[in-house]
Amino acid sequence: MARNTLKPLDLTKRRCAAYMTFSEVINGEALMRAMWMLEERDHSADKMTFIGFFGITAELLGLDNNIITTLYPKLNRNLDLPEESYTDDPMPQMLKFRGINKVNRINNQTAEQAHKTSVPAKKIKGTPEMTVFAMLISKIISETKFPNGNGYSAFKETLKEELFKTELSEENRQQVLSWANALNLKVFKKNIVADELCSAVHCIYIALCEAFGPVKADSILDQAIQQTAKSPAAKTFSPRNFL
Amino acid sequence: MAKSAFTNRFNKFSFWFFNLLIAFAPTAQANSTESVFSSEIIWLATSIALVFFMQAGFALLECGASRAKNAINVIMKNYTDICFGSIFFWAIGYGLMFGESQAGLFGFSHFLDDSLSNKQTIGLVFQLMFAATCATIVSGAVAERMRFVSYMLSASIICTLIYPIFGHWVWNPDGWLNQLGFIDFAGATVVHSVGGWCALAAVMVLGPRLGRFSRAGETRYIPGHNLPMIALGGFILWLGWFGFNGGSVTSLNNLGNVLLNTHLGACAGAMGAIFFMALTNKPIMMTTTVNASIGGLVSVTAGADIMMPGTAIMTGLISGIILVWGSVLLERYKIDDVVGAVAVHGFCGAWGTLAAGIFYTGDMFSITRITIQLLGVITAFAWSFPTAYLTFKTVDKFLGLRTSSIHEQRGLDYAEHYEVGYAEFNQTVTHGEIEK
Repeated sequence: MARNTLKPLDLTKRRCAAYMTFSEVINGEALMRAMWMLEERDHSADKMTFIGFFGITAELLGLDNNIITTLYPKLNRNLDLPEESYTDDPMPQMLKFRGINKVNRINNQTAEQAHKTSVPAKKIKGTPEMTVFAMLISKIISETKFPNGNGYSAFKETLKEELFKTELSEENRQQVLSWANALNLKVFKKNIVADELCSAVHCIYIALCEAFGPVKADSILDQAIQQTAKSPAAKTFSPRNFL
Repeated sequence: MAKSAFTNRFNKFSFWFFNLLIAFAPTAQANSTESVFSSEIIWLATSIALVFFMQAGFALLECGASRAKNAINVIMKNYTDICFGSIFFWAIGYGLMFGESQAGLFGFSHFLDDSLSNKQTIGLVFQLMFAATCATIVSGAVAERMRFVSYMLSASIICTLIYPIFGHWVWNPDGWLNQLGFIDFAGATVVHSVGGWCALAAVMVLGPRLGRFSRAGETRYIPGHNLPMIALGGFILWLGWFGFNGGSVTSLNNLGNVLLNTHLGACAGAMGAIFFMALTNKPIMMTTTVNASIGGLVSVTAGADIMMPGTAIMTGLISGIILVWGSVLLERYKIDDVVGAVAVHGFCGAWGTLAAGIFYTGDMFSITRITIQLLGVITAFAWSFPTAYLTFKTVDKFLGLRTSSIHEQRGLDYAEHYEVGYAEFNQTVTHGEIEK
């Protein structure tokens, strides 16, 4: 019977599987960085999306494409292992790497809990348009299953080129570029005005066209807009304003 | 009961109708020349209606082949190019094409002419339809990315200048190609190739749609939003072609042969493409098949009056193959032609014109004739492509030819016309909310 691969993966399980897979080729600081990059990805991701995230992360770490190709089946296998087969949850090591000790973890809301309880977009406390923008682009990425490293590279390169064609301020351009490099919403430190956000969304659309073709790009943006429009924040600022 | 009342009424009508016919029969016989003349006029007027209906076929085909967010824009281009084109052709184009010839290069009379005889006027209207057909070929190729205003201007220039000048060379009795013996019965080259080469120039200046070709060289298929609409458009074009070719006969005595060749050419075009796709392990696509039948129609247009049914079939079969091959060739060179207009009208038109020389009944495979035909084909390209390229470049410089990428993202329906094609399905991202 076919496994249902569309349901969100258990966070601990996906962390353990990724740790087992990555530790075969990297260790130390690189391994921890990779684990955090993966940890900060969409927590509702299904198996295939997570494997996509894994590929992007591996590429961002500079791993060779041939090595990345060998890691995909291993991760796929590791994600299907029974729970008792996993080694210990790597979260304590990851927290230690970030300098968070156990006491802090108990007393304060841990990074892990923070991730579990929040949608990435909600981390940005800003104007309604900024909040909606952050939600929209996180939805775009969760809709985006980069088929291979080349797709992601094409996306980044095109986005970079398109951003330089717009009238975005240098600071805002860098914010969007940093987001494209790490796909991490934390890079948005400052609010961006609605007009510039609109330009940024358009640049992202063109980059999606380059990476996936216009039909898929339309579909991704459409899905993301529809999902974002359902959120409470969209009542203050409609995501359609970015179109 | 109702049926018998109807039958009675029908019988009465038939009785009066036949009595009238008998009463007028001697007069009709006495004026047999006038009767034939009237028949020709009536047939030409019917052909005008059929050729005009081809605009609907083009509109449906092009609209179906585009994405939903550009449906209105495509329809608008088709609807308005005949409006602008007709007026400009009547005012200037007709005079350049059929006016008094100046050294066989262009005509110079009949501008803004309102003193033509009835027969000449009917001929003018028929030619108006041809001019509009030539311009509308471009609209399909440039769909989804060309600005509406720029398109209208370019289409007007095609109808006013590019098409009539070449038309003069071929169809004016004093035109230099006509004098050489070049034959193009109903415009495979004059209308279709010229339109196809103009379309090629337009898509080269415009560039491909966003994401059509990736930088890595990947070709992305962008399906139209309504493929049955393409088939319906194909059927309507096929129907209209009976007027397009049939209306060009100089004598009704040859009408049957022309209509038969026209029909067989279309059938053979589709067959040729299907065989070729099957033999080369390509999927047998409906869109390609419809295009191939139109390619077949285009190709027999040049020699529908001088070919035998067998040679018309041969011409159509080869045009089907050329159509498939031509589309692949254009993709290889990263030329984004939304409906395949260049392959259908440009390539198949050129082949059909050559075929008219090759399969000329009673003088087949005549090297002289083929050479003249080849000269005409090359001349058509050498005239229309550079002039169209220059036109589009100039329009691009002063007006802007290509719509902005944000408009391409939103769709030209909303961006250019403030309307959406399918308002009920307005939830998609490309059909943004219209707030006036």
